[in-house]
Amino acid sequence: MSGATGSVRTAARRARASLRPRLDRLGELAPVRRSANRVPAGRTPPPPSAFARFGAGSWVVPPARVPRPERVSIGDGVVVMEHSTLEVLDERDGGAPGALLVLADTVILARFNTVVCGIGVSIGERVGSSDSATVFDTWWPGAPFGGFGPEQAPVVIERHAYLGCNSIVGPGVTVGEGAYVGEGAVVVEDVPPHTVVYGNPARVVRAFDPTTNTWPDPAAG
Amino acid sequence: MRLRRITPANVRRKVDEELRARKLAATTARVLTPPAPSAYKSFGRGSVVVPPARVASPELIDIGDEVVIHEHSWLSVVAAVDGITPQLSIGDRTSLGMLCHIACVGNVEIGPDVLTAPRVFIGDTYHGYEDVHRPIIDQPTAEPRKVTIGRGAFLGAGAVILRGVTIGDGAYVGAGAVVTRDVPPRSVAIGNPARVVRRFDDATAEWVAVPPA
Repeated sequence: MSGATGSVRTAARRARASLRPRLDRLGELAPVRRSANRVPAGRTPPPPSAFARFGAGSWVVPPARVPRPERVSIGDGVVVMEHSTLEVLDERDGGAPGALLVLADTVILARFNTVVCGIGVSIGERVGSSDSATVFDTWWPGAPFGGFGPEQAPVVIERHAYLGCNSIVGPGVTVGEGAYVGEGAVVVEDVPPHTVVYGNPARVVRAFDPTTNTWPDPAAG
Repeated sequence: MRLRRITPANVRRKVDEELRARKLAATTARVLTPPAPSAYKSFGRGSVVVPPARVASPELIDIGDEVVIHEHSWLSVVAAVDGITPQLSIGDRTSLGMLCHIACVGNVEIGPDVLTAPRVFIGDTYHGYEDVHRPIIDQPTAEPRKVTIGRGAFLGAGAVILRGVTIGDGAYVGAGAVVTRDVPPRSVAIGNPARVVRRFDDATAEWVAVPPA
């Protein structure tokens, strides 16, 4: 009996000892005051444990909207800046049952980026973006007029690509490796690797020539 | 809410989550609080940068009198190109709308009395993409070319002003326009890529349509 009590006491002492440094640090850092940091209610990103995966050193800056973190996989060293949305659609909103939004390692998404995933969005390693880039794989053609149901196709942003400010990438698009999606581009067709696209709809304005290892001047061709 | 058994491991997890949240909140607050007026190269009377805002290198930014820079602006002034000291100047009585993003590694000059709608992007450079073996965000930015927004111009919501562009005095840039070429004074440019569709005819003092080229 006394042995059992002793083991409980020992366990409690051990627990206190392991918590003490943490509680000390907690005392040094001020508690989160929502008003001070302007994080509206409901826009605090979920804790790492709620995500399908949340890699080491990754940071989703509040305020952010991640309604279904269990369907979002985030690699190591990812930064998603404030006011971004990583949304995996609920099944009653037209999302596919196994939909998964994947951000590979060291992706950097800037502010006000919106990623809407109904079936699958994959953003490759070290992809960068600028403010207000939008990626979505589901849309509702004619939705305001009765709708035709969601149309969806997976979106793949391959590694090393860049999405410019205010650019939009639509359903079914593959943005190739190292492609530069220009500012304000509206991408509705695949972007080949190592090209620069601009405009609405996006058109290739420059392309890397692997045979000569150069970027030919578009004016010359 | 799901109740967890109070065990040392669960308490530790809870405390760790709280610690992380507080650390991130402190970092966020630090990054998103604009610097004091004294930190800028010049900061005119009655001007305000409304927090939250990201301001990089305020010592390279000139802000005139009675300037208003609304919430969530990002004044990204970075000495990224060797031998070039960037310079951003914002003229008197200019008002930049919410969520504006200015990427300046060379020279960006926003004249007096300019009004911009939300989500405007102004950049005098772009990320290099020429090296196909490296991620674009890790490549150096291109050689900057000066961007000028003329006196009394207006930029519509989501307008994008690219490298080397001069927007003339009193010009009107429509919403969502992507401006790749100069816009003459007192003209209207819309579209992606932007095209001048109207201009003010000085001889007749009237606005006339500009036919497509």
